Amino acid sequence: MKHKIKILSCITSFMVLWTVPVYAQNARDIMQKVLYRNDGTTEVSRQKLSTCRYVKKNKKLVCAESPRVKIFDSVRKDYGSNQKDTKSITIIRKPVSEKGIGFLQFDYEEQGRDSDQWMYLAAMRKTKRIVSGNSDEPKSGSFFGSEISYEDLEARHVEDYQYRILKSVTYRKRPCWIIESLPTPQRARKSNYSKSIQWVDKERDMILKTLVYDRQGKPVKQIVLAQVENVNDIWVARKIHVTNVQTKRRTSMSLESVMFNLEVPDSFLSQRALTSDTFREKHLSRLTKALQ
Amino acid sequence: MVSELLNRLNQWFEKLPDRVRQRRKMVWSLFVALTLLIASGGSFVRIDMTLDAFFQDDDPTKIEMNRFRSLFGSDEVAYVIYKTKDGDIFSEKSLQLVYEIQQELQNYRLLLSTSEASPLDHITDVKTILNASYMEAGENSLISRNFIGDNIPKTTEEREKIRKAALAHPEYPLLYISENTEYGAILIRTDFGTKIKGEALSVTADSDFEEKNLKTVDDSEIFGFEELNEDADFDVGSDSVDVIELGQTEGLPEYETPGMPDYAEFMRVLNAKLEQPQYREHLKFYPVGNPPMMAFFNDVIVEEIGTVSALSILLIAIVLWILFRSFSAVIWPLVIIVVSLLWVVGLIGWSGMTMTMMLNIIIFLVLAIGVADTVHILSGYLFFRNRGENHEQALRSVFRKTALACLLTSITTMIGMFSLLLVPIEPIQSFGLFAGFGVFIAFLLSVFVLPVMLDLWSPFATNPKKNNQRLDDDGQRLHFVQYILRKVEPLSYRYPLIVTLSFVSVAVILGYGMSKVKIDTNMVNIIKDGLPMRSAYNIVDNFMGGAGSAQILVNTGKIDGLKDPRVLQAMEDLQIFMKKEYPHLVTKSTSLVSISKDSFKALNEGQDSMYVIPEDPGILANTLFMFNNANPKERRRMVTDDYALGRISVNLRNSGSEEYNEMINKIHVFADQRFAELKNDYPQIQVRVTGTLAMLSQMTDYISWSQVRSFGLALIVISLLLLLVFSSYRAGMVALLPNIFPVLTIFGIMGYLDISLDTDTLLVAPITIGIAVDDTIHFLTHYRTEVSKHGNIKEGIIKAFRETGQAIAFTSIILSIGFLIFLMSSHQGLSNFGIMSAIAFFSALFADLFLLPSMCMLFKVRFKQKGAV
Repeated sequence: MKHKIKILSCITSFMVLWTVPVYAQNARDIMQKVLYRNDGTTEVSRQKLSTCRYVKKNKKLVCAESPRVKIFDSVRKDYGSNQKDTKSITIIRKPVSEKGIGFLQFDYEEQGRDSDQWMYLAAMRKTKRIVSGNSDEPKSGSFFGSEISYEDLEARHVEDYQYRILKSVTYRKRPCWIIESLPTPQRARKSNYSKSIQWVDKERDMILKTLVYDRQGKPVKQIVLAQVENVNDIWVARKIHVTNVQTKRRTSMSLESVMFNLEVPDSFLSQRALTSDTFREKHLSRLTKALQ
Repeated sequence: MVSELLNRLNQWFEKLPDRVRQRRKMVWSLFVALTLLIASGGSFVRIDMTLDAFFQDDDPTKIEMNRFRSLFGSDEVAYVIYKTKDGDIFSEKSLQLVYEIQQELQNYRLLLSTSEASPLDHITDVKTILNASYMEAGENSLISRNFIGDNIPKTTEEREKIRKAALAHPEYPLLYISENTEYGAILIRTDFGTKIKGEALSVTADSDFEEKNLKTVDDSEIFGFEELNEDADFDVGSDSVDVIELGQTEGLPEYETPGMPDYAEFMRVLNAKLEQPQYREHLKFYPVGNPPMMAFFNDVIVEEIGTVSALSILLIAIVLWILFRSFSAVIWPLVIIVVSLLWVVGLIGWSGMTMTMMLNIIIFLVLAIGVADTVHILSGYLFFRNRGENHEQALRSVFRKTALACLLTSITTMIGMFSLLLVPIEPIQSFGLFAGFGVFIAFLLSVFVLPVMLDLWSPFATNPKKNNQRLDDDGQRLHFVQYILRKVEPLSYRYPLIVTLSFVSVAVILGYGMSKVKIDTNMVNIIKDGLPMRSAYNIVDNFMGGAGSAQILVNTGKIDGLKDPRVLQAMEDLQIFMKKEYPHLVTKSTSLVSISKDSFKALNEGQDSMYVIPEDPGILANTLFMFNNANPKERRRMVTDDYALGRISVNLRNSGSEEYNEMINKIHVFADQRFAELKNDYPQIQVRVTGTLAMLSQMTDYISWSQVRSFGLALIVISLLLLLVFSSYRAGMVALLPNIFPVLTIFGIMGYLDISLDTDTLLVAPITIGIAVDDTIHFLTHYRTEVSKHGNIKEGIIKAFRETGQAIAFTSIILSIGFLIFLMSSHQGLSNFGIMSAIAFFSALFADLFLLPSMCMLFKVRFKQKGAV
């Protein structure tokens, strides 16, 4: 350890030196708490996804072309003892040319088990199971062609990473830890990212900002959560801005409306909800009625 | 009027040597001081040899190129072909090694400290047959993955299956693999040409979390995401989001032109990676594409220009010695030439203007003119010394006879060069400006400094050895060149008609050849046969799909335009048309069309009959939606996010700009026709060829035609000047033909030998005109002085022949031999330039020694004024 200790920073440095193992443990605990944060057993929402290629004009970001907007309804339900097996379904409402296209995704708590994913193409009336990437290789593919990739959406496993607290800060008036996560070697093989840095709200156990670095260690994405509100006792961000600095594109996701812990029948989270319009609309209209 | 002025000038020049010699200390110190001052500017010279340098910022071709870059990124690819020892790119070892190279090129950053920049940061993507994107239809599933991936198949059976699948794939053969699977390719996409002015090129890695960084981490900490610092809340979904509307040029960023050394540095590091022993023992690499080509020009050609110039100066020195047999006659001209060059380069540096590769022509032009001026003065000086005049008197005589001619030649050449200022292309303008200055500097130094130099050390040996037995009528020594000249001297006044007619008939034959000259620049063929770079291009043309690429931008002017099956159908027709029309050039073309077909087939359980563009717009939209989810990176390369603009990327074999231009025109014509039916729905639809190839074609076109035009202009200006100087239409007309003849000679020979006029051979023209006019002026001024003395044409010819013939012959011999050094260059263009220049100098020599006096005889050219002094 070649830390240079100056008088002013003596105490902090001393603590960093002394408490590295404890911090490491704490960092993991913090992330564990984040991953197991109460996010409700079900979530029904309507979301808007806007993406554009941006350029800098007068030192400000502007869209270089009209943003592409997709509006979709989404239903999620958690299962298992830890509520960590998740099924979710997403149906596109707009644009018209893609209306009815749907996604069904199953995430599993079991470490190393890949998510299952089906896509329903409404115009062709076909459901396809989507496999992206060879096994044991990073997943390619993006969520609705946005800057959010499949990997960004997958449930994380706390054991897949090593954590380190970099600092304690106040970020956007919230007390935060800045935590670095490095994938374990097994995880690294399957990940598009080599590192991420997260700003974790100390009190609400939620990540407010994430920076991710690609496999070459170059910065690639910034994910910022904004307009954090309390809905049904659950902290939720109304806006998520994902910026890819390599492709120079930004996706803003806005949660138009959301409800937690509504009653969702298990039968809805199945391929039938993708293929059968009447079945799907019957349930969805009931669920979305609750939304304002 | 004019003749009076000329006579005054003659007298002024006669007194000049004495005046200069009286102030020799001042002349010397001024000479040294100015040289130091001006030459110090040389360190500021910036040389830019890339294509972008030839385009003004508002040039439509450049704007289109920038639009393309802003939408799709750089189109510059380092295309590394490899051949394996075992002759099979699908053997386990070959696949394994290529996998390792691919990994190494993708993950080179992991070996570097995070803040360290690397030339390889230019890499944006590395594609091989291993990670080529592949879509596969399974039972009710759709697999989008890398073709081979990270796990190299271990069994022969598996590998054979892969080979078969690769060869059957519509995109892989000729791009990643050759059809005999002996050659493979590593496609390295780069970001060359997309560095936005004033911004860092690519996103650099963050700096390590060192102690000092940790202390400053706070709310504003960005960890390498600086550019987003103030825009964290920029909401694309907001109704009031700022958007630059489609088709506006306002939002187009300005790009910095990559420097030649950037390419060289990139290739040096890339080659170092490839040439590691573990790869080299099994693989042989042939890199092609713009980055290797530019690196080659930078490393080989630029360096060669230095050695070739040095060699030709050396050779000039040797020839000077052989001709004059005196060291001072070698040293002084060389000093004048080298100092002239220093001045020109220094002035360029001080001016702050960027030079292109045309700097070389300036160097050789100054070299040629400097040699001509000093040799004329030196040989005149020796001529008079041999006649028994002493040092001072010989200087006076030569200045009276020759200095005016030198002034005239310098002015005419300078005007010729300045006429280039009329061409609205900056590099050509700065070339014209400094070439003109260079010529005049050489003149000034010859006239003002050479006398004091000769004062210090003169080439005339007071006690010459009697080893030369050739004597003239007065019993004087004759140089062997003079001896030959004496022998041919009577030709022109004895048989003026025959000589003139022979020249005219040769001119007619040459003129026919000239009509066959093609304007064509071929970037590959200018590299000499047998060089590794040239062989690499032969391989990529013969076994793969060529290394050239054209980009066709399809702008529908409407959002989602490329989701319209009719647009895709039109694009496919265009692609088919190109392939049918140019089967030897177009090997492949990729666009959203192939993506749609491939995706649609995969969605239909992989049935071959479904490899089509879906006709139903809804189904097409769904198909594209699926692909965009599976492979957004590939989709982004082919169409803009809003599907308003698409690109057809065409792989081409090597050819010259002439054929490429023709192809580009045909593409435009076909596209205008084929897309016309879509005009109702897409009134703004436009299909344009862009990319590096389009820029190259446009540049060649600019250079060739503009220069041909401006040299024509120069010729006219010079003729008018001759007319004015000699105040005689007859003399003006007579002077013109011997000047056109050398130009006819080189273009005629080029026509017959099928050497095309390109950016290199084109340079012969100004130098030829410069030298030819010089010879004519020297001859005519002497002739004029003699004829106006006693009105005897024959006597005038003989005198002029004897006094100037030697100098004209000397300069021609020296320059021809000097320029022949270019034959050694790896650059075919420079070689051609060298040999053509040599031919031109000799042709000018013959025209001025034979044609000019014959015509003077034939047309009885007398000058009006009565004797000067």
